[in-house]
Amino acid sequence: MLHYSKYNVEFQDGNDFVIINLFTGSIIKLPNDKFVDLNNELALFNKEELQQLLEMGILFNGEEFDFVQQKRLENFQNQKDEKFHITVLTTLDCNARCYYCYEKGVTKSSMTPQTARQVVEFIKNNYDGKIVSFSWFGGEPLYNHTIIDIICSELQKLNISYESHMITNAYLVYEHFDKIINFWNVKRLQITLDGIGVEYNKIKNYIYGKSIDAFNVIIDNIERLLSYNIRVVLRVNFNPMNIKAAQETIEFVFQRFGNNSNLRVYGAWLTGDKIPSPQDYIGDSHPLLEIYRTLLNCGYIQDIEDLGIATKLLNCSVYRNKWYVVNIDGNLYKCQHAIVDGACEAIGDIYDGVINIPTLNKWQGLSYPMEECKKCKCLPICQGGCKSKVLKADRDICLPFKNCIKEALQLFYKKIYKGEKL
Amino acid sequence: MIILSKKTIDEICNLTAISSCDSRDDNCWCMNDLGC
Repeated sequence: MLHYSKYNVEFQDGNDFVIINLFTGSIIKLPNDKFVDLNNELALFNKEELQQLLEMGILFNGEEFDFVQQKRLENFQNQKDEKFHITVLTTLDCNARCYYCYEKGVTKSSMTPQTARQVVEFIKNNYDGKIVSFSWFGGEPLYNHTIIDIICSELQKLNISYESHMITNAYLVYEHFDKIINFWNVKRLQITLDGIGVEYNKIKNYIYGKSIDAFNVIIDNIERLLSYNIRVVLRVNFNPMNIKAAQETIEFVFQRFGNNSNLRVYGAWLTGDKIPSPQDYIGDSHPLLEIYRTLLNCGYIQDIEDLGIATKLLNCSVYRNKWYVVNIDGNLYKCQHAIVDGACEAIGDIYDGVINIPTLNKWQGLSYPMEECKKCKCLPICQGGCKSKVLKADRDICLPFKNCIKEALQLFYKKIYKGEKL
Repeated sequence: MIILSKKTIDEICNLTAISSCDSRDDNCWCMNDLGC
């Protein structure tokens, strides 16, 4: 039966209603009377309008949860032409000592050249003859850059094409700049900014001593990367108890780099025992709204997807069959977060391949974690949340913006469609 | 009725595993969740 979608979010704008469908991301505006009719008789809509409402998911015929679940399953079963991807942890050691690091307590060992050569063997035996995609990760991946050199060099000898991205604190980018561009073929770097100046230096607590202004080093490196048209994704970590620091950081980035087309900036809610959960807040008072406000005013949110509102039937890389994470010891995992739990979460290793099928199946299980997911408006975007958090029964499985999605969309609408200063 | 942004159910359902979650996809909130 044709009905108003449960994945719609709506709010009033004067005499009109704005409706956003969270499955498709479509946005429409209707006069008040038509909005009322949309939830009732559908008498005020012509045939063409009804067809468009159906296509955009604002109206739906049938049971939506079953539909989403079925499409998710089909997407998982029909994986083809996907890229062979391998995340390589070059080291678990790091030149920074951030208090919030999820790898805290892990032994700070590094990958050996011998293991790196075996990674290449694993790739040679398992890739599909096309391009290999790398994520270089750690610890700080540049802290053991020799591993990247060995793997890239061996692949070149084998005529295997590759490209990569890197998650780095960027402190060592300058000394490896030529390799980043010309040898490792890095297309994108994710870099964290925890604050500005002294505050950043305090949180990062680099090993180089207090006389070095690490913040300036990072900013200069970001500038250099952008000048070479390398994609830079800046993650601005924030503690909800101190939103102002994150807002100032975003504004600093804007003043320094503006809206460079290769730059993306987003806010990330820190997690920790002493830090409140996003689920502790609701509606207008949600700290995330202040972050969105600043990002919108600086032009770093242009599209609804920049708010994190984008349906991904397979919401996580763990569901991709050609997606591997290799730890420093050669064990294979589905997720970087699993390595802190040790070999019990490994799906195999680079010597024997994927052999631990029960663990693989556990990570690739498609069921939703909670009964309430079936009724949740955010299901199309969230799809049950981060698999690592689900398996660890983390308190923050739900999307951080779940409790303020309407208010976030209102801000987005005001800025993007009405041009208002927020 | 004013359509401000239109994407269809078919478009979303036809996203492949690659396009729905790529390591280079800035909007992949899983990758974004790495607190490093």
